[in-house]
Formats: sequence, C-alpha cells, structure tokens
Amino acid sequence: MTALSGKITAVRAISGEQQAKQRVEISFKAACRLPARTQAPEWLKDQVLKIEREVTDLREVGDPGDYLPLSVEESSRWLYPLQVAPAVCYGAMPENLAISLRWWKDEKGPEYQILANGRRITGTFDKTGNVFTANLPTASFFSSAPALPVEFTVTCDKMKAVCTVLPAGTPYARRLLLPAGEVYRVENSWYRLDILAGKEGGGIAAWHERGREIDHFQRPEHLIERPLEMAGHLDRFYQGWRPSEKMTTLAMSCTGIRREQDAARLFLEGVLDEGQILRTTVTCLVPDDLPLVVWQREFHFHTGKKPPEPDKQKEELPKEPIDEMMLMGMGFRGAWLTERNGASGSRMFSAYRDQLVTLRSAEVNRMLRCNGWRMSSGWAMVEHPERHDYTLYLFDRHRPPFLYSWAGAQTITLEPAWLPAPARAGDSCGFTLAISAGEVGGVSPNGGWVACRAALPDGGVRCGIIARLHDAVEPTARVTLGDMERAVPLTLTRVLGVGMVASAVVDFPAGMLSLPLSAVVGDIPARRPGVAVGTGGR
Amino acid sequence: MDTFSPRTFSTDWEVLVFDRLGRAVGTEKLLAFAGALRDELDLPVTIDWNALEYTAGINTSFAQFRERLWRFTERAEQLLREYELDLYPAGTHPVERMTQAGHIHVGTITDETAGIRLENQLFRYMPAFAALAANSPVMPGLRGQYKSYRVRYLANYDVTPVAIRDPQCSQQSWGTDASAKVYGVPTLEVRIPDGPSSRCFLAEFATFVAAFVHQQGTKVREEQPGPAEYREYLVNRWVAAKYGLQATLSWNGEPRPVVEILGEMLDDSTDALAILGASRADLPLIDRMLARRVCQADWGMTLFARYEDPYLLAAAFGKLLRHWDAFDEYLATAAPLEPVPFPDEEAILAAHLESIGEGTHFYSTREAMYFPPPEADAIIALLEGRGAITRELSPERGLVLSRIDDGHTLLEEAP
Repeated sequence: MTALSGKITAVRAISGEQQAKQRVEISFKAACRLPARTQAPEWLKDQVLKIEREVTDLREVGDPGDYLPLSVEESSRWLYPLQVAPAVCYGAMPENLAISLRWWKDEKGPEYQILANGRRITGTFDKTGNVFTANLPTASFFSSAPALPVEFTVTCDKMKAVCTVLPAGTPYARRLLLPAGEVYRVENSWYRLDILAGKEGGGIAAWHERGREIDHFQRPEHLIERPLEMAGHLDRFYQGWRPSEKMTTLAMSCTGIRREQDAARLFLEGVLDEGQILRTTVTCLVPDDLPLVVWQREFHFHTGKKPPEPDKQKEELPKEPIDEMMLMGMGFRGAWLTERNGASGSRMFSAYRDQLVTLRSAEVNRMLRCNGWRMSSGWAMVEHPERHDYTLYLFDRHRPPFLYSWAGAQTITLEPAWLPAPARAGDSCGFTLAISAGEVGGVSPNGGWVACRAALPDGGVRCGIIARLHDAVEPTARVTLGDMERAVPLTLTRVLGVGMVASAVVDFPAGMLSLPLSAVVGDIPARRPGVAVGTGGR
Repeated sequence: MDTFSPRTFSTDWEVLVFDRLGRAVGTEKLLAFAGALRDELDLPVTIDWNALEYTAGINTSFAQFRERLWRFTERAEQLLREYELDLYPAGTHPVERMTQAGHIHVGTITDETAGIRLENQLFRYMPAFAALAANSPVMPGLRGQYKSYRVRYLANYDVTPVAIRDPQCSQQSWGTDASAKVYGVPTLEVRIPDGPSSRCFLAEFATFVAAFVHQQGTKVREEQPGPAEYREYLVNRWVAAKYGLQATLSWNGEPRPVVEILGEMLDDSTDALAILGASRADLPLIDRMLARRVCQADWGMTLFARYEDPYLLAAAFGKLLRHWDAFDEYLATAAPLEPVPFPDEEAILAAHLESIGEGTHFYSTREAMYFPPPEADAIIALLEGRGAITRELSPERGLVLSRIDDGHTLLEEAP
C-alpha cells in the first residue's frame, strides 16, 4: 500500500510526560507518496496537515523541515479523502449513494457533483464530526431501470470517486476507478481479477476466487510497499542481468475490451523504451466456463526511425551489426503472502523429466536459483496449505523457463525466466501462460492440477479442474463434494502458446459451498482434502 | 617481542547518508562529500559503495583518535546539513539492504607470518567483540531475532569467519573477522564489529580493540588451534550475533558470560591501553554496557513496538541517530538485561534444522553456523539419522535436503 510522507512544519507537545511517553501534535506539509516517492496528491498542495503520535523521546519526531513518513492508516484520509459507497455493486442499482469526504482543507465543506446518465447533480455536504457526508438517491438520475453497467462519477475539487454498477452473472471486463486507483476488472463465474494499468506494465493486483470470496493475492494492507511487491503477478523484461526497472513504472493504455461468445478479453499496450522503439502488450483472456486465465505478454522491438537523442553527436560513428543488437530476455513474478513466516508452509512444485521438485526456502531474503534444469513439464504450482490456496501456472513445454524463487519475510515468489536471446529491430519475444487458482491441488511427476468451485445461479455448486498431465496419464477425474462423488473425463484443449490444457467442470446441483471438496485427477490425489468454506459467494 | 611497532590504530567507519525524502544518497554524490572532508580534515575519508567511510588516519593515542572523530562527525554533519542530508550511523537499515561496519585497523605490522599466527590466536575473541559492538537488530524484512544481523549474515559476505591458516601454506586473505592485511596498509584488521551509532562508543571500542590486539602481539604463539576450539568459536560467533551482551559463550568448554570475558580482556589490556594514553577508567561507556549487558542493538530495538512499518522505523531511528549521545543517555537509565544460557547441542542442531526447508541445497546448512565440512556433514547425518530430514541427489540439482514436518515428508500428502 502507498502512504504519505510529509515535511514537518511544527511539533507541539499536547500532553505531559506520563510513564515515559509523550503525546505530540505534528504539523506537516505533504511531500511525496511512499514507497516510490512520487508526487503527493494535488489537493494537498500547500496544506498544513496534523497528526498526533505517542513518543518516548521527542527527538524521534524531529524538527521543522524533517522527513515524516506516515503509516498506511494515518495516510488514508489524505490520500483517498473522497469515497463513495458502494464503489462497485452487481445486478441491482443501489437505492442511495453514500458519499463521504474524510478530509477537507476548510471548516465549511465544498460542493460535490455527481454525473450519471448525462445528468449532473450538485450538492453540499453535511458535517458529522470530522467527516463530510452526503446521501443521494440514484433514482434522481434515471426515469426507468437502466441497462447495466452504469457509472456514477462523483467529483469534488480535484478529487474523484466512482460507483460502478455491473450486471450480475455476466462475464465482463471493464475499467474501474477504485479508491486505490484505476484497475481493469475482468470477471467470469469463477474469478474476479483486478489488473493494474497505471504501473508495473500491467500486472494482476487481485485474484478473487468467487466461491470462497478470498483473494489469492491478499497482502498486508498495513505495510508500505510497492503495489505488487508482496502479492500479485507482474511480468519482466531483461536487457541484462537484472529486470528492467522501466517495467515497474510503465503505464499501459487499454487498446480494447471485447466480449466474445464465450470469453472476455482485455488488451493493454505500453511503450517500454521510446528511444529503442520497444513496446509491450498484454492480452488477458478469461473464458466464461473455466477457472482459467490465459495471459499473453509480448515485447516488440520495432523497426522505424528512432526519435532524436538531444545530446547525440552530429557526426555518425561507424557501426557494426552488433551495435544494433539488443538482448531480449523475459520472465514473470508471482508473489504471495507466505504462511508461517517463511519458515514452513508455503512451497512450490514443478517437475522435469520424471523428477518432481519441491522448493521452500527456510531462510529469509533468499533467492533460490535452479539453473541446472528447465521446467520441461510445463507447469509450476504454488501451495499455501494452511489457507488452502493453490495457484497453477502452465506454459510452453518446448521452450520452458528456468525456475527461480525468492523467500521474503512475508512473501514467497515464483520467478521463472526464459533464456535471453539477441534481437534486432523487427524481432519480438513473448510468452503465454494459462493460470488457474483454487482450493485443492495435486502434484506428482506425472503433472499438477488445481480445483476450485463456485455457486451455481439456481443453487448447487459447480467445481472446475485445470490440469497438466503427462501424456501417459488417463485424462479422468473423480471429484468429491461432501459424500457426493462424480467421475468425469477431462477435456484436452490446445491453448496456443501453452499447449494442451486438461479441464473438467462438474455440477453438484444438491451441493453446498459448505461441504469439503476433494479430487483425484488422473492418478494424482489431492495434497490435502478440501474444507468447508462457509456459505460465501454470490 | 612486539609484533606491532610503532603502535597505531584506526577505523573504517561506514555511515549511510539520507536526504529529507528518506532516500539513501548514492556513490557519486558521496564521493564529493568524501573529497571535501578529506581535503579539509586531512584524513583519508572515502566511500564504500553507498556509504561515506570515515577512515581515521594513523592514530597513536586515545585522545588523538577521539579528537579526530569529534572533528569528523561535527564537520561531516555540518557539510551534509547544507544539503539537508543526515548521517545514519548503524550496522543496518530497515529498508536499505547495505550493511555497515566499524572495522578497526591495528598497526603497525609488517611481519605477515606473525600476523597469520596472531589471527589464529585472536579469532576466539572475535565473538566477544561482535557482542559488544552488536548494532544491527533489523534488516529489510527482519527484526529482533538477532542483535547483529550483519554478523549473522556475514555482511553480504563482507565479513566471514576466520579460517585457521598455516603461514607455510597461506595466500593473502581478505574479509575475515580478523586478518593481517600487510599487502595494503600495515595493519591487522578486525572486521567483525557492526557500524556504531555512538561516537563515544567508537572511540572507546577502537582503543580497547587496538590495545587488546597490541597486547596479544607481545605473546604470539606458533601452535595452531584444533577443530574443537574452532567449533567453539563458530558457535560463540552465532551466539554473540543473536544475543549481544546477554550472550553466554563457551570458553575452553565451559559456559561463561560474554561480559565477564570482555572484562577480563579489558584487564589484560591494561599495559597496552597505557601506551595508547588510556586506562579502563577512560572507557566508562563500555564498562556501563558490560555492567548492564546492554549493547547498541538493545537501544534500537526499543522502537520496534511503536514503528511496525520499516519506513516509519527508519525515520524515527534516523532522527535519534543525529544525536551522538542518544545511546549514551539511553544506557544511563537502561535496566540491566539478564544473561542467556549457552545453547546446548540440541539448540545447535535446531539452528541447523531451521536452515533447511524443502529442496534446500545441502550447502545452506553451512550457513547456520558456518561449520567446516566434517562438522557440517556430521550434523546433516545426525538430522537424517533422527528422521528429521531427507536427502535427494540428482546430477542437475546436486544434493538437496528437505525437512520432515511432524513425521511426514512434506512431499507426502499431509495428514
């Protein structure tokens, strides 16, 4: 999460020393946002803000002019002052919009404006304690029930918040403005993904499994961190030993959102390096009927005239072909909150030839590099056994990446990387991943699988399985929900760039989300039986 | 016999520098400040990666060292403040990955043979110095489990355990806890200490280390220590990193509080201290630290509970670090800490087992306490014999180990 950092303007003791602790009021001006130290929000410009802290030594606070990082919680009301509830809802229009302004520079609240359906309504806030609030009936904007989706855009000074009403039960992809920033949300009946476009070259920030209403990329919300540092999926581009830093700040433009007959598709594009005419694209395809996301990343080294470099010598120096050559390397990084503080719990699996590999570092801040073998099985799985959280990555078996993994105090990562290659203008590189996440999984030298479930619209439970199996394994599955068992054949589908993906969907019309789920896929049993997940899910 | 003549000493004290957005200042800009300070103070101030390095020149007395240190700190502070920068003197930082040391150079030595023999004699005392100087209880993602993460993790391989050397079969060495470095400046360098936060501590500590090494230099022995003594040193090194001055070391096979050992080392250095113009009475801060078993790391750890976020912790601690006497003041009122018993063999095994996850390369177990091959392999065999780990060998991955959790290999389906 991001936080505000300020410059102190004054420090005032507000209570006497009691039990070696003192309460102080610190006045400051916003300086930047942490951790990237980017610009503070425009609405805080020249504003003197105040917080209170308890200290044992006044010198911890510092003096006027000093750096004052705020915690995520302390920062929230200044970074995201304007909020509308609900921010996102499904199916039915909310009766009212609850607007709150948690900070304003004056005693008197400002005007707000709401725009929807071409109508614009202006109003003033009421003040309750330190918060300005307003409630507005949504009926004011529509004379009849509108077709969804619908957006209500609330503006106030330079702040903006949006309430989006989406159709229920319809797979879709759409741009949303959430309190923490802009995301593209892609959803089917299994998952709800939030894809960051404004940074990280388009990465996956949230992966909600709808059946259990859990986010596989949950993160410690109270710590200052880069958006996908501790949890999320991001792709990497290499022009040398280290991943390109440009990807971390790269904003992507949306070049299309498409509903197809049986899938939603999102296209993002960004310019990674203008000087080298280097572009990158992401296509995220979410099929309606499977717990699967197909993620395709490309890096293009374009031909064409480079923009002039301001300091370049006028005289053209002699060149050899190597001068036009560029190293192109690529990889990705999936990061998850680790279980049991990295000492045990979370682990990852992959396989090559007939070898199953399991990896978990017991030491923190440790990079594990597997340079002696490639993931020729074409799959890798990350397991968090305590929270029943499994994510399966499938990729091309014919040119597989090498496995790298990093263990942080709160993070475990899967960081495969492909071998770099020389490239010249006109060349490109890329990879395609098929990713599935669920609550049960199995691994063996013969393959890996993941299963998840979702509520059926008219009651009952639908279970889905995604697997990659050795060719010799019988493509069948036995799925158990409570005491109900179904045997099903697996469907083999060729996903271009990934290869054969085995899948099955099984309905349990009498099933309930509260029953434990398990499966045997091919000859691979579940690593742990499923557990009751309550009655969550929409 | 006097291995050191004339008797001199110095320090390389690495200090990070931060701006008022909390960013560490990089090498190129630090070079400018180092140049200005070197020119003005006529001391070989330099940089080491992203740290400003105070190199104190050649000192022959406590008073001279202290005076130069005060002059450097005051001038550096003023020069940096012109650019709204602050020094961050500590062994580690909650956000930055660099580690900082306060190396002590002891001169003047040109006899490398004697220097190597002295290394073999001095290494057993290095954990005691590490405990006294412990000042790195936090690293990115880690806090509080060790009082010197820098020593525990070898300062990114910038300070490794001493390897016992035979002068007849030696090449030059670099980067160990203590080594003769006559190929450069004619000194024996003690590299194990964390970068200090208190300049008063640095002045007392550097003089103490120098006097102790000088004293040892008057009785250099030819015999080489054996494996048992070497193992004792490595376990002591781990214990010192973990517990600082609360540590109990193993001393000739018997448990002994590190503060007692340090007290004895101070007493043994009386004559050598006198040559440097000091006596134990001139080192009151160290005496108080020993009496209370409180090191600089304990001071830093008092902030942990109130600043969970590393950025907030770095800012609060950084502001305290501006005050050169802040640790000294803390120490004056700090409650004494209790000693922690020396770990038994089961605890040593457990520390090794903790280094093993799944598919862990067997060499990672070496990093638990840096035992040499026969001892480290014996521990692996013992853990395997007890059914605590499994081993797997493949040409592609080499020998890898996996911990067995509650009687089940983690590769099996859990119960």
